[in-house]
Amino acid sequence: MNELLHLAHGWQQCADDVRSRAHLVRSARAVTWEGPGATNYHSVVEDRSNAMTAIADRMDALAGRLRGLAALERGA
Amino acid sequence: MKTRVAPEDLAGAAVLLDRGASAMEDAFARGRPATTTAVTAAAGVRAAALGPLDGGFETAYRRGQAVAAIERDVAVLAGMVAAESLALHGVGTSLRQAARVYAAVEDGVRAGLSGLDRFLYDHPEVAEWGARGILPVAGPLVGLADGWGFLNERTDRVVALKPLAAREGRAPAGLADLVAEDVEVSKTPGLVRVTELIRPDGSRAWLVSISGTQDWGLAPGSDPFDATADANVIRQHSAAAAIGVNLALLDAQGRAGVDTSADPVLTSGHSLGGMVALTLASEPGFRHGRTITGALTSGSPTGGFDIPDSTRVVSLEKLRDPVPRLDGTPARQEPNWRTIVADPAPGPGGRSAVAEHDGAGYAALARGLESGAVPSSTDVDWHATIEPFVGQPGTRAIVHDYVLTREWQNPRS
Repeated sequence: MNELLHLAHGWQQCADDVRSRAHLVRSARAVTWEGPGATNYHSVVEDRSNAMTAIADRMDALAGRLRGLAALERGA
Repeated sequence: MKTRVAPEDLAGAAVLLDRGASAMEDAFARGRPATTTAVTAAAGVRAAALGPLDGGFETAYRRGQAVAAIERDVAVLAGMVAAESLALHGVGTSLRQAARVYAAVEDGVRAGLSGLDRFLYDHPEVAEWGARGILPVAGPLVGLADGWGFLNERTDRVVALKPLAAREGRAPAGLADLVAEDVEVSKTPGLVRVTELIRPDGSRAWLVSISGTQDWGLAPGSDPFDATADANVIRQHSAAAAIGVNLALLDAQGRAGVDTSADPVLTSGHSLGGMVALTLASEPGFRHGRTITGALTSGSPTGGFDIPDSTRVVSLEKLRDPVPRLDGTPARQEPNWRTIVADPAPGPGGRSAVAEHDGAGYAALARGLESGAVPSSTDVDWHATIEPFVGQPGTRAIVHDYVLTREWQNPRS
Protein backbone atom coordinates (compact mmCIF):
# COMPACT_ATOMS: atom_id res chain seq x y z
CA MET A 1 0.00 0.00 0.00
CA ASN A 2 2.78 2.41 0.90
CA GLU A 3 4.48 1.60 -2.34
CA LEU A 4 1.30 2.47 -4.27
CA LEU A 5 1.11 5.81 -2.49
CA HIS A 6 4.78 6.42 -3.11
CA LEU A 7 4.29 5.73 -6.83
CA ALA A 8 1.23 7.98 -6.87
CA HIS A 9 3.29 10.80 -5.35
CA GLY A 10 5.98 10.28 -8.00
CA TRP A 11 3.47 10.46 -10.88
CA GLN A 12 1.93 13.57 -9.34
CA GLN A 13 5.32 15.28 -9.37
CA CYS A 14 5.90 14.13 -12.97
CA ALA A 15 2.55 15.62 -13.95
CA ASP A 16 3.50 18.94 -12.35
CA ASP A 17 6.85 18.95 -14.20
CA VAL A 18 5.26 18.18 -17.57
CA ARG A 19 2.56 20.84 -17.03
CA SER A 20 5.19 23.40 -16.16
CA ARG A 21 7.20 22.42 -19.25
CA ALA A 22 4.05 22.68 -21.39
CA HIS A 23 3.74 26.26 -20.14
CA LEU A 24 7.32 26.96 -21.25
CA VAL A 25 6.66 25.44 -24.67
CA ARG A 26 3.59 27.67 -24.98
CA SER A 27 5.82 30.67 -24.32
CA ALA A 28 7.52 29.93 -27.66
CA ARG A 29 4.40 31.44 -29.24
CA ALA A 30 5.70 34.83 -28.13
CA VAL A 31 8.22 34.78 -31.00
CA THR A 32 7.33 37.46 -33.51
CA TRP A 33 7.30 35.82 -36.92
CA GLU A 34 5.74 37.33 -39.99
CA GLY A 35 6.85 35.93 -43.31
CA PRO A 36 7.20 32.62 -45.16
CA GLY A 37 6.60 29.64 -42.89
CA ALA A 38 4.90 31.64 -40.16
CA THR A 39 1.34 30.74 -41.18
CA ASN A 40 0.86 27.81 -38.86
CA TYR A 41 3.62 28.41 -36.37
CA HIS A 42 1.54 29.76 -33.49
CA SER A 43 -1.17 27.11 -33.78
CA VAL A 44 1.43 24.32 -34.08
CA VAL A 45 3.16 25.44 -30.88
CA GLU A 46 -0.17 25.76 -29.11
CA ASP A 47 -1.15 22.24 -30.22
CA ARG A 48 2.12 20.86 -28.84
CA SER A 49 1.63 22.65 -25.55
CA ASN A 50 -1.95 21.37 -25.30
CA ALA A 51 -0.76 17.83 -26.04
CA MET A 52 1.79 18.06 -23.22
CA THR A 53 -0.89 19.33 -20.86
CA ALA A 54 -3.06 16.34 -21.84
CA ILE A 55 -0.15 14.06 -20.92
CA ALA A 56 0.19 15.82 -17.55
CA ASP A 57 -3.56 15.33 -16.98
CA ARG A 58 -3.19 11.64 -17.81
CA MET A 59 -0.34 11.38 -15.27
CA ASP A 60 -2.55 13.09 -12.67
CA ALA A 61 -5.28 10.59 -13.40
CA LEU A 62 -2.81 7.74 -13.01
CA ALA A 63 -1.69 9.11 -9.62
CA GLY A 64 -5.35 9.30 -8.61
CA ARG A 65 -5.98 5.68 -9.61
CA LEU A 66 -2.93 4.54 -7.66
CA ARG A 67 -4.25 6.37 -4.58
CA GLY A 68 -7.65 4.84 -5.16
CA LEU A 69 -6.18 1.37 -5.37
CA ALA A 70 -4.20 2.03 -2.18
CA ALA A 71 -7.43 3.12 -0.47
CA LEU A 72 -9.17 -0.06 -1.60
CA GLU A 73 -6.33 -2.14 -0.20
CA ARG A 74 -6.43 -0.14 3.04
CA GLY A 75 -10.12 -0.79 3.35
CA ALA A 76 -9.71 -4.52 2.83
CA MET B 1 6.15 40.39 -48.93
CA LYS B 2 6.19 41.35 -45.27
CA THR B 3 8.85 39.61 -43.21
CA ARG B 4 9.54 40.20 -39.55
CA VAL B 5 11.38 37.64 -37.50
CA ALA B 6 14.65 37.27 -35.61
CA PRO B 7 16.40 34.00 -36.57
CA GLU B 8 17.87 33.75 -33.07
CA ASP B 9 14.32 33.83 -31.65
CA LEU B 10 13.35 30.87 -33.83
CA ALA B 11 16.46 28.99 -32.78
CA GLY B 12 15.63 29.80 -29.15
CA ALA B 13 12.08 28.50 -29.60
CA ALA B 14 13.50 25.29 -31.08
CA VAL B 15 15.60 24.83 -27.94
CA LEU B 16 12.47 25.29 -25.80
CA LEU B 17 10.65 22.58 -27.75
CA ASP B 18 13.59 20.16 -27.64
CA ARG B 19 13.97 20.69 -23.90
CA GLY B 20 10.23 20.19 -23.48
CA ALA B 21 10.51 16.80 -25.20
CA SER B 22 13.49 15.73 -23.08
CA ALA B 23 11.86 16.89 -19.83
CA MET B 24 8.69 14.97 -20.68
CA GLU B 25 10.63 11.80 -21.45
CA ASP B 26 12.56 12.18 -18.16
CA ALA B 27 9.35 12.75 -16.20
CA PHE B 28 7.78 9.61 -17.65
CA ALA B 29 10.88 7.59 -16.72
CA ARG B 30 10.88 9.05 -13.18
CA GLY B 31 7.29 7.91 -12.77
CA ARG B 32 8.77 4.37 -12.93
CA PRO B 33 6.24 2.89 -15.36
CA ALA B 34 7.66 -0.65 -15.11
CA THR B 35 7.55 -0.59 -11.31
CA THR B 36 4.05 0.87 -11.42
CA THR B 37 2.86 -1.99 -13.61
CA ALA B 38 4.57 -4.62 -11.46
CA VAL B 39 3.28 -3.25 -8.15
CA THR B 40 -0.19 -2.87 -9.59
CA ALA B 41 -0.14 -6.40 -10.95
CA ALA B 42 0.82 -7.67 -7.50
CA ALA B 43 -2.16 -5.78 -6.06
CA GLY B 44 -4.30 -7.52 -8.65
CA VAL B 45 -3.01 -10.90 -7.58
CA ARG B 46 -3.77 -10.04 -3.97
CA ALA B 47 -7.29 -8.97 -4.92
CA ALA B 48 -7.89 -12.21 -6.80
CA ALA B 49 -6.94 -14.14 -3.67
CA LEU B 50 -9.50 -12.33 -1.49
CA GLY B 51 -12.17 -14.48 0.00
CA PRO B 52 -15.65 -13.58 1.28
CA LEU B 53 -14.25 -12.69 4.70
CA ASP B 54 -11.89 -10.10 3.18
CA GLY B 55 -14.69 -7.95 1.79
CA GLY B 56 -16.34 -10.18 -0.71
CA PHE B 57 -16.27 -10.45 -4.44
CA GLU B 58 -17.38 -6.86 -5.00
CA THR B 59 -14.23 -5.49 -3.40
CA ALA B 60 -12.11 -7.90 -5.44
CA TYR B 61 -13.92 -6.75 -8.57
CA ARG B 62 -13.37 -3.04 -7.83
CA ARG B 63 -9.67 -3.60 -7.18
CA GLY B 64 -9.35 -5.60 -10.38
CA GLN B 65 -10.96 -2.73 -12.30
CA ALA B 66 -8.54 -0.22 -10.73
CA VAL B 67 -5.57 -2.42 -11.59
CA ALA B 68 -6.71 -2.74 -15.22
CA ALA B 69 -7.22 1.04 -15.49
CA ILE B 70 -3.75 1.76 -14.12
CA GLU B 71 -2.10 -0.67 -16.52
CA ARG B 72 -4.02 0.90 -19.40
CA ASP B 73 -2.97 4.40 -18.26
CA VAL B 74 0.70 3.45 -18.19
CA ALA B 75 0.53 1.91 -21.68
CA VAL B 76 -1.36 4.87 -23.12
CA LEU B 77 1.05 7.32 -21.49
CA ALA B 78 4.04 5.52 -23.00
CA GLY B 79 2.54 5.95 -26.47
CA MET B 80 1.54 9.57 -25.91
CA VAL B 81 4.98 10.54 -24.60
CA ALA B 82 6.79 8.84 -27.49
CA ALA B 83 4.55 10.45 -30.10
CA GLU B 84 4.67 13.89 -28.51
CA SER B 85 8.43 13.73 -28.16
CA LEU B 86 8.74 13.05 -31.89
CA ALA B 87 6.36 15.88 -32.69
CA LEU B 88 8.26 18.37 -30.50
CA HIS B 89 11.61 17.44 -32.01
CA GLY B 90 10.06 17.67 -35.49
CA VAL B 91 8.80 21.20 -34.90
CA GLY B 92 12.19 22.08 -33.39
CA THR B 93 13.99 20.84 -36.50
CA SER B 94 11.66 22.85 -38.76
CA LEU B 95 12.30 25.96 -36.68
CA ARG B 96 16.05 25.50 -36.95
CA GLN B 97 15.79 25.17 -40.74
CA ALA B 98 13.65 28.30 -40.90
CA ALA B 99 16.16 30.13 -38.70
CA ARG B 100 19.00 29.17 -41.07
CA VAL B 101 17.08 30.39 -44.14
CA TYR B 102 16.17 33.69 -42.50
CA ALA B 103 19.75 34.13 -41.27
CA ALA B 104 21.05 33.64 -44.82
CA VAL B 105 18.54 36.13 -46.17
CA GLU B 106 19.40 38.60 -43.41
CA ASP B 107 23.01 38.15 -44.38
CA GLY B 108 22.07 39.25 -47.87
CA VAL B 109 19.97 42.19 -46.72
CA ARG B 110 22.77 43.37 -44.47
CA ALA B 111 25.09 43.21 -47.44
CA GLY B 112 22.85 45.79 -49.10
CA LEU B 113 21.81 46.00 -52.71
CA SER B 114 25.31 46.94 -53.76
CA GLY B 115 26.48 43.65 -52.33
CA LEU B 116 23.55 41.56 -53.55
CA ASP B 117 25.33 40.00 -56.46
CA ARG B 118 28.32 39.23 -54.24
CA PHE B 119 25.85 37.58 -51.85
CA LEU B 120 24.36 35.51 -54.71
CA TYR B 121 27.88 34.61 -55.77
CA ASP B 122 28.57 33.26 -52.28
CA HIS B 123 25.08 31.72 -51.87
CA PRO B 124 24.04 30.57 -55.39
CA GLU B 125 21.55 28.14 -53.87
CA VAL B 126 19.37 31.08 -52.80
CA ALA B 127 18.36 31.61 -56.45
CA GLU B 128 17.05 28.05 -56.48
CA TRP B 129 15.14 28.53 -53.21
CA GLY B 130 13.73 31.73 -54.64
CA ALA B 131 12.67 30.02 -57.85
CA ARG B 132 10.87 27.27 -55.95
CA GLY B 133 8.94 29.87 -54.03
CA ILE B 134 8.49 32.32 -56.86
CA LEU B 135 7.54 30.08 -59.80
CA PRO B 136 4.10 29.19 -58.40
CA VAL B 137 3.25 32.89 -58.31
CA ALA B 138 5.02 33.76 -61.58
CA GLY B 139 1.98 32.79 -63.65
CA PRO B 140 -0.44 35.18 -61.90
CA LEU B 141 2.19 37.94 -61.91
CA VAL B 142 2.78 37.56 -65.64
CA GLY B 143 -1.00 37.48 -66.06
CA LEU B 144 -1.21 40.77 -64.17
CA ALA B 145 1.51 42.20 -66.37
CA ASP B 146 -0.46 41.05 -69.43
CA GLY B 147 -3.31 43.30 -68.40
CA TRP B 148 -0.99 46.30 -68.71
CA GLY B 149 0.44 45.14 -72.02
CA PHE B 150 3.72 44.00 -70.50
CA LEU B 151 5.64 40.77 -71.06
CA ASN B 152 3.10 39.51 -73.57
CA GLU B 153 3.62 38.82 -77.26
CA ARG B 154 0.12 39.57 -78.46
CA THR B 155 -1.27 37.93 -81.56
CA ASP B 156 -1.34 41.24 -83.42
CA ARG B 157 2.46 41.20 -83.52
CA VAL B 158 4.51 39.14 -85.95
CA VAL B 159 8.21 38.67 -86.41
CA ALA B 160 9.78 39.96 -89.60
CA LEU B 161 12.94 38.54 -91.10
CA LYS B 162 15.56 40.66 -92.85
CA PRO B 163 18.38 38.65 -94.45
CA LEU B 164 21.81 40.24 -94.62
CA ALA B 165 24.29 39.36 -97.33
CA ALA B 166 25.75 35.89 -96.92
CA ARG B 167 29.51 35.82 -96.47
CA GLU B 168 32.37 33.42 -96.00
CA GLY B 169 33.25 32.81 -92.36
CA ARG B 170 35.45 30.60 -90.26
CA ALA B 171 34.36 27.10 -89.33
CA PRO B 172 34.28 26.58 -85.56
CA ALA B 173 37.20 24.63 -84.16
CA GLY B 174 35.54 23.50 -80.94
CA LEU B 175 33.20 24.16 -78.05
CA ALA B 176 34.72 27.57 -77.29
CA ASP B 177 34.09 28.83 -80.81
CA LEU B 178 30.46 27.71 -80.65
CA VAL B 179 29.84 29.55 -77.36
CA ALA B 180 31.78 32.59 -78.57
CA GLU B 181 29.51 32.76 -81.63
CA ASP B 182 26.42 32.85 -79.38
CA VAL B 183 27.97 35.71 -77.43
CA GLU B 184 28.87 37.54 -80.65
CA VAL B 185 25.33 37.46 -82.07
CA SER B 186 23.97 38.81 -78.77
CA LYS B 187 25.72 42.13 -79.48
CA THR B 188 23.48 43.06 -82.44
CA PRO B 189 19.76 43.70 -81.85
CA GLY B 190 17.55 40.98 -83.30
CA LEU B 191 20.44 39.06 -84.88
CA VAL B 192 20.26 35.33 -85.55
CA ARG B 193 23.08 33.56 -87.36
CA VAL B 194 22.83 30.40 -89.44
CA THR B 195 26.23 29.01 -90.37
CA GLU B 196 26.21 26.59 -93.27
CA LEU B 197 29.14 24.22 -92.92
CA ILE B 198 30.22 22.50 -96.14
CA ARG B 199 32.62 19.70 -95.38
CA PRO B 200 35.35 18.47 -97.76
CA ASP B 201 33.16 15.53 -98.81
CA GLY B 202 30.40 17.93 -99.80
CA SER B 203 28.09 17.07 -96.92
CA ARG B 204 26.53 19.88 -94.96
CA ALA B 205 25.82 20.71 -91.32
CA TRP B 206 23.92 23.69 -89.96
CA LEU B 207 24.79 25.70 -86.90
CA VAL B 208 22.11 28.03 -85.53
CA SER B 209 23.49 30.67 -83.12
CA ILE B 210 20.78 32.41 -81.10
CA SER B 211 21.05 35.65 -79.18
CA GLY B 212 20.55 36.10 -75.45
CA THR B 213 18.40 38.84 -73.88
CA GLN B 214 19.20 42.21 -75.44
CA ASP B 215 16.38 44.42 -74.15
CA TRP B 216 15.26 44.25 -70.52
CA GLY B 217 12.25 46.56 -70.90
CA LEU B 218 8.92 45.15 -69.69
CA ALA B 219 6.94 46.22 -72.76
CA PRO B 220 7.49 44.14 -75.90
CA GLY B 221 9.51 46.21 -78.36
CA SER B 222 10.85 45.66 -81.83
CA ASP B 223 13.70 43.40 -80.67
CA PRO B 224 12.24 39.91 -80.15
CA PHE B 225 15.17 38.93 -77.89
CA ASP B 226 13.84 40.81 -74.88
CA ALA B 227 12.42 40.26 -71.39
CA THR B 228 9.03 39.50 -72.95
CA ALA B 229 10.64 36.62 -74.84
CA ASP B 230 12.14 35.38 -71.54
CA ALA B 231 8.69 35.47 -69.92
CA ASN B 232 7.04 33.66 -72.83
CA VAL B 233 9.70 30.98 -73.17
CA ILE B 234 9.64 30.27 -69.44
CA ARG B 235 5.84 30.33 -69.33
CA GLN B 236 4.90 28.43 -72.48
CA HIS B 237 8.12 27.43 -74.29
CA SER B 238 7.30 29.61 -77.25
CA ALA B 239 8.25 33.08 -78.43
CA ALA B 240 8.27 35.14 -81.59
CA ALA B 241 12.06 34.85 -81.51
CA ALA B 242 11.78 31.07 -81.92
CA ILE B 243 9.47 31.53 -84.90
CA GLY B 244 11.98 33.96 -86.41
CA VAL B 245 14.88 31.55 -85.92
CA ASN B 246 12.88 28.84 -87.67
CA LEU B 247 12.22 31.19 -90.59
CA ALA B 248 15.92 32.07 -90.76
CA LEU B 249 16.99 28.42 -90.95
CA LEU B 250 14.26 27.75 -93.51
CA ASP B 251 15.54 30.59 -95.67
CA ALA B 252 19.21 29.62 -95.36
CA GLN B 253 18.56 25.98 -96.15
CA GLY B 254 16.35 26.98 -99.07
CA ARG B 255 19.18 29.04 -100.53
CA ALA B 256 21.44 25.98 -100.51
CA GLY B 257 19.20 24.46 -103.20
CA VAL B 258 19.80 20.90 -102.05
CA ASP B 259 17.99 18.40 -99.85
CA THR B 260 18.95 19.32 -96.31
CA SER B 261 16.57 17.01 -94.44
CA ALA B 262 19.37 14.65 -93.36
CA ASP B 263 21.89 17.39 -92.55
CA PRO B 264 22.73 17.59 -88.86
CA VAL B 265 21.51 20.77 -87.16
CA LEU B 266 22.77 22.22 -83.86
CA THR B 267 20.78 24.96 -82.12
CA SER B 268 22.88 26.97 -79.69
CA GLY B 269 22.56 29.98 -77.43
CA HIS B 270 23.52 31.77 -74.25
CA SER B 271 20.89 32.49 -71.58
CA LEU B 272 17.61 33.28 -73.42
CA GLY B 273 19.28 31.98 -76.58
CA GLY B 274 19.77 28.59 -74.92
CA MET B 275 16.12 28.45 -73.91
CA VAL B 276 15.08 29.29 -77.48
CA ALA B 277 17.49 26.58 -78.73
CA LEU B 278 15.75 24.05 -76.48
CA THR B 279 12.30 25.36 -77.42
CA LEU B 280 13.11 24.68 -81.08
CA ALA B 281 14.78 21.31 -80.45
CA SER B 282 11.64 20.16 -78.63
CA GLU B 283 9.19 21.58 -81.18
CA PRO B 284 7.82 19.02 -83.71
CA GLY B 285 7.13 21.77 -86.24
CA PHE B 286 10.78 22.83 -86.21
CA ARG B 287 12.03 19.23 -86.31
CA HIS B 288 9.81 18.24 -89.22
CA GLY B 289 11.93 17.66 -92.33
CA ARG B 290 15.14 18.28 -90.40
CA THR B 291 17.66 16.25 -88.41
CA ILE B 292 18.20 18.12 -85.15
CA THR B 293 21.17 16.25 -83.70
CA GLY B 294 22.13 18.64 -80.94
CA ALA B 295 21.43 21.65 -78.77
CA LEU B 296 24.00 23.66 -76.81
CA THR B 297 23.10 26.02 -73.97
CA SER B 298 25.24 28.17 -71.70
CA GLY B 299 23.93 29.89 -68.59
CA SER B 300 20.32 28.90 -69.36
CA PRO B 301 17.58 27.49 -67.12
CA THR B 302 16.90 24.12 -68.78
CA GLY B 303 14.21 22.55 -66.58
CA GLY B 304 10.93 21.51 -68.21
CA PHE B 305 12.11 21.05 -71.79
CA ASP B 306 11.22 17.68 -73.28
CA ILE B 307 13.90 16.84 -75.86
CA PRO B 308 13.59 13.67 -78.02
CA ASP B 309 16.19 10.96 -77.41
CA SER B 310 17.65 11.43 -80.89
CA THR B 311 18.90 14.90 -79.97
CA ARG B 312 21.90 15.30 -77.68
CA VAL B 313 22.10 18.32 -75.41
CA VAL B 314 25.10 19.91 -73.72
CA SER B 315 24.46 22.55 -71.09
CA LEU B 316 27.20 24.68 -69.55
CA GLU B 317 26.48 26.06 -66.11
CA LYS B 318 28.66 28.02 -63.75
CA LEU B 319 28.12 27.05 -60.15
CA ARG B 320 27.87 30.69 -59.05
CA ASP B 321 25.67 31.92 -61.89
CA PRO B 322 22.14 32.22 -60.41
CA VAL B 323 20.37 32.25 -63.81
CA PRO B 324 20.57 28.50 -64.62
CA ARG B 325 19.08 27.88 -61.17
CA LEU B 326 16.02 30.00 -61.82
CA ASP B 327 14.05 26.96 -62.97
CA GLY B 328 14.36 25.58 -59.42
CA THR B 329 15.42 22.17 -60.75
CA PRO B 330 18.75 20.31 -60.47
CA ALA B 331 21.25 20.29 -63.34
CA ARG B 332 20.09 17.73 -65.91
CA GLN B 333 22.09 14.55 -66.38
CA GLU B 334 20.23 12.20 -68.70
CA PRO B 335 21.28 9.66 -71.35
CA ASN B 336 21.10 12.31 -74.09
CA TRP B 337 21.70 15.34 -71.88
CA ARG B 338 24.97 16.35 -70.26
CA THR B 339 25.25 19.34 -68.00
CA ILE B 340 28.77 20.55 -67.26
CA VAL B 341 28.82 22.41 -63.97
CA ALA B 342 32.05 24.25 -63.30
CA ASP B 343 33.26 26.68 -60.68
CA PRO B 344 36.07 28.63 -62.37
CA ALA B 345 38.05 31.32 -60.59
CA PRO B 346 36.36 34.76 -60.62
CA GLY B 347 36.83 36.67 -63.88
CA PRO B 348 37.55 40.38 -64.38
CA GLY B 349 34.20 41.25 -62.74
CA GLY B 350 35.38 39.80 -59.43
CA ARG B 351 33.11 37.85 -57.08
CA SER B 352 29.87 38.96 -58.72
CA ALA B 353 26.83 36.89 -59.68
CA VAL B 354 26.05 39.30 -62.53
CA ALA B 355 29.58 38.90 -63.91
CA GLU B 356 29.25 35.12 -63.58
CA HIS B 357 26.33 35.17 -66.06
CA ASP B 358 28.22 37.21 -68.61
CA GLY B 359 28.48 35.51 -72.00
CA ALA B 360 32.19 36.23 -72.38
CA GLY B 361 32.77 34.36 -69.15
CA TYR B 362 31.01 31.32 -70.59
CA ALA B 363 33.16 31.52 -73.72
CA ALA B 364 36.22 31.59 -71.44
CA LEU B 365 34.82 28.65 -69.50
CA ALA B 366 34.42 26.68 -72.74
CA ARG B 367 38.04 27.44 -73.64
CA GLY B 368 39.12 26.30 -70.19
CA LEU B 369 37.14 23.09 -70.51
CA GLU B 370 38.70 22.33 -73.87
CA SER B 371 42.22 22.95 -72.65
CA GLY B 372 41.62 21.12 -69.39
CA ALA B 373 42.48 24.26 -67.40
CA VAL B 374 39.00 24.30 -65.81
CA PRO B 375 37.95 21.17 -63.97
CA SER B 376 34.34 20.07 -64.42
CA SER B 377 32.22 17.01 -63.81
CA THR B 378 34.86 14.51 -64.92
CA ASP B 379 32.72 11.83 -66.59
CA VAL B 380 30.74 14.23 -68.73
CA ASP B 381 31.29 13.60 -72.45
CA TRP B 382 30.10 16.49 -74.58
CA HIS B 383 32.24 15.86 -77.64
CA ALA B 384 29.72 13.65 -79.48
CA THR B 385 27.13 16.44 -79.45
CA ILE B 386 29.31 18.98 -81.23
CA GLU B 387 31.46 16.61 -83.28
CA PRO B 388 29.51 17.02 -86.59
CA PHE B 389 30.02 20.80 -86.41
CA VAL B 390 33.62 21.39 -85.38
CA GLY B 391 37.23 20.68 -86.07
CA GLN B 392 37.10 19.25 -89.60
CA PRO B 393 39.93 20.76 -91.66
CA GLY B 394 38.90 22.07 -95.03
CA THR B 395 35.33 22.82 -93.96
CA ARG B 396 33.83 25.96 -95.56
CA ALA B 397 31.61 28.17 -93.47
CA ILE B 398 28.96 30.34 -95.11
CA VAL B 399 27.44 32.79 -92.66
CA HIS B 400 23.78 33.72 -93.13
CA ASP B 401 22.85 36.58 -90.81
CA TYR B 402 19.26 37.67 -90.27
CA VAL B 403 17.79 40.52 -88.27
CA LEU B 404 14.47 39.77 -86.61
CA THR B 405 11.99 42.46 -85.63
CA ARG B 406 8.59 42.39 -83.97
CA GLU B 407 6.06 44.24 -86.06
CA TRP B 408 2.34 44.92 -86.13
CA GLN B 409 0.43 42.30 -88.05
CA ASN B 410 -1.77 44.99 -89.61
CA PRO B 411 0.38 48.13 -89.81
CA ARG B 412 -1.59 51.30 -89.16
CA SER B 413 -1.03 54.08 -91.58
